[in-house]
Amino acid sequence: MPRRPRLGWLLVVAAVAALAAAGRGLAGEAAPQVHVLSHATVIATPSQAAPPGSSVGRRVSLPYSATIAPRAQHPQALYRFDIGLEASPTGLWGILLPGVEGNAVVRVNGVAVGRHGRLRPPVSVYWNQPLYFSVPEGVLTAGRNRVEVSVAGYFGRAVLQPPRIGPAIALQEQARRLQWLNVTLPLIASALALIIAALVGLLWLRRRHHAMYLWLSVAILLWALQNASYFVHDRPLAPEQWEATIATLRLWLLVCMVLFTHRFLGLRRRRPERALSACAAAGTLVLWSLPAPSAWPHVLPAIGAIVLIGGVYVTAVFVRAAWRQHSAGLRALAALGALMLAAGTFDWLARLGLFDPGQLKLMTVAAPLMVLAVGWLMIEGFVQALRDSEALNRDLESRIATKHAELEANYDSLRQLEHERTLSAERERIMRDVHDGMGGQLVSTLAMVESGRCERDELAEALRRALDDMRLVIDSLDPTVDDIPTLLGTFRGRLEPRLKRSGLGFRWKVRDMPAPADFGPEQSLGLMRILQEAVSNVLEHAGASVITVATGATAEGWPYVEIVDDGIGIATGSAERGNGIAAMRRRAHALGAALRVEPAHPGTRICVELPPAAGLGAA
Amino acid sequence: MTQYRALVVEDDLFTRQHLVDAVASDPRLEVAAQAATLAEARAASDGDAPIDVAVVDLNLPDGSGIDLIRELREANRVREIMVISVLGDHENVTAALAAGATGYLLKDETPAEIGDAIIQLLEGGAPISPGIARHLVKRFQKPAPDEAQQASVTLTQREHQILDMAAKGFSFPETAELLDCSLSTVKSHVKRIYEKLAVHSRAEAVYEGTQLGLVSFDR
Repeated sequence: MPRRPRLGWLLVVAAVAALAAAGRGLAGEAAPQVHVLSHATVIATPSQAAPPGSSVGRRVSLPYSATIAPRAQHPQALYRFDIGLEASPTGLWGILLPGVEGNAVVRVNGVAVGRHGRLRPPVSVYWNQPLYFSVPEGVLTAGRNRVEVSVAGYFGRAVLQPPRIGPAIALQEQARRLQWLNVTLPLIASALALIIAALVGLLWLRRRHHAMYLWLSVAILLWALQNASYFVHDRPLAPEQWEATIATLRLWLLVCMVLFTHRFLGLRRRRPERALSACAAAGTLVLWSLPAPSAWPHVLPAIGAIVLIGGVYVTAVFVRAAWRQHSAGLRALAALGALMLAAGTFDWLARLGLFDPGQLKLMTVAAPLMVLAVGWLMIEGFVQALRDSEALNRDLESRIATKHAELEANYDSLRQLEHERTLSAERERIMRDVHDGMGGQLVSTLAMVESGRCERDELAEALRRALDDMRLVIDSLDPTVDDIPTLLGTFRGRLEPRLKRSGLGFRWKVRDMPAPADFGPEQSLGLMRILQEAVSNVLEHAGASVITVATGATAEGWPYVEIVDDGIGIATGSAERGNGIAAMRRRAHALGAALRVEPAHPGTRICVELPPAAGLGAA
Repeated sequence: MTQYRALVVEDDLFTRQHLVDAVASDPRLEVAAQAATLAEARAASDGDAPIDVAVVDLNLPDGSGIDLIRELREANRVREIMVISVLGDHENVTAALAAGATGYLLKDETPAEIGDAIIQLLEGGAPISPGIARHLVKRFQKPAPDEAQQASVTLTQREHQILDMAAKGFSFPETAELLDCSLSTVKSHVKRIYEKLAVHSRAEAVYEGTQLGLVSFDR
């Protein structure tokens, strides 16, 4: 995936660039005429006795953590600065306190220059937020000026970053920059993180079996909450409770990070997870039962160290996974994790006082990037899932279309085969019929001629019979003749001349009749051959004068055709007649019809009862 | 005895000879002319002496026999026209009847049968076979496209009954007896049916023409 790794690495590069810019941005403190008050004398306040071993009266360099009596009503320390100005300041001047652990009141040459926030417990905490005070005109003079910063601290300390005094414009500019980097940026990061946590949480709600979303959501939420220590200065809780809350959040953030890492990478390490959770629970208990505020300054770095170690573990796991799986996404994650770890370590070491970072707090810059990275990863995952699903859908659709086409082609060829088979069967039937019927007669007629043993009349009769059979076959195939009465009408037209020559006549009683079942050309021919045989029999043997042809339906609903002659009857019939009747029975059987031959007093009745169409008449 | 004059139009030599022999063998008929093509038929019918009956084959080399039948009917040059057909060819026989033929013959009938059929036709007969009757019943079942011509192209109940009986194979006398009317009434009904057939098929042609966009009416 060529796009993915570039974006990931882009983020890493952006992170580094941002960190560098932040560092550089904050480095521009040295502006003309701005005095950094880095040396002070710590003075005890009138309202409190100096605690033993305190630094009261000592000259110290800032940033400095003055010890204060923790049990005092208003724990405060006074920092006194003496500065000499060459000339009386022109224009408006101000004082900027970049950071004070707690709140501060400033007096310039004895004049109070304003205050911020709460000075009573719970005291507002401006450790991360610049405090700007405007010095009224005329307060500062050329020569010696005295600035006193009274710091209301907590946990037995009053920590102060070196204040700056100088032209208002320059200081306000610095204040804005500090405010943006140290307060606004974390606030934005927290807001973004909350949104992302909510989205990931919703995602988990919809896909409960992916536990990693839950842990990620909670981790991001906890991180967003613990970030409040950067920008919330009017804290509703006492310092111990506040710090305990933040520390608890960080502990459980660590647990969630580890759980998420394991789930995300598919690692099963349940035992260590349970142990970790147990430790976090124990740690929480310890935090909330800490008695002495003076212990806190030691507890906080310890918690920080624990979280950092957790971060090392998580980053190491990611690095190993990225190494093993050669996944660019994982590599980017690992790199970002490492960066966060570096930023966190930097801040932690700075808090410990190992070096002076100026006002640079790397975490405030690195964290938003991490949040964005997480957001971007989520979107990438989502988009990839969408793409996969679309590809699957397309694949499925194309397969269905192919199958459909195959099926249709199959059906078509089946239909075609069926059609051809039906046609073939019908052709074969007609071939057989013509060959057997007319063909047979012509062959025997030819034999008669070639043998020379025939009379002209015999020959003519034989040929006429052949013609008759041909007409019978053609009539049976005629699509217009689609009901039995019309068939009988045509049949009459064929036979009547022969009857007339023999002195017989038809009595025609053909009426409408119900259509029999499955009556096609084959069945028409069969029926006509039966009737032909019957009439021939009458002509040759019966000695009749009238042949009655009638149609109708039996009591059971079977359509019938009957031929009645008024001749001598079958009882006295010859063997030939018997053969003819046997042939008729065979044909009737082939039609599924019943043949009844019975005396008609006088004469004979031959009745063909055809099977009724489905639904009409009883079986 | 006056002999009826017959014109035989048939392109196949043997069949034509067969027909000519059949006509000649009947004392009541004489062969006025023979023709093997449409052109010859036109020429023969243009002569001075009138023709009583034309026996026309439908498959002529230079045109359709149906056109010839229509021409002869419109020119009123011939009293009766018999069309020669083959077994089962209801479609063409009906078309010929619609064009103005008044009778039909089967190619393979005996000379005696041919002679009898022609005489019957000349003496007022209206031959109709069960197959043709059935075919006509079906033809007239299709609704007439133009309402104005409804009356002239639908069959009356009597005409329907006669066609129905003819389809079942009843002879004209039997039909007359069963329907309680005279034989000549039955025959004239059949002739009327043939006329309606001509109108019906013309209406059909016009309807199909309008459907195809070939004919348009200014309404």
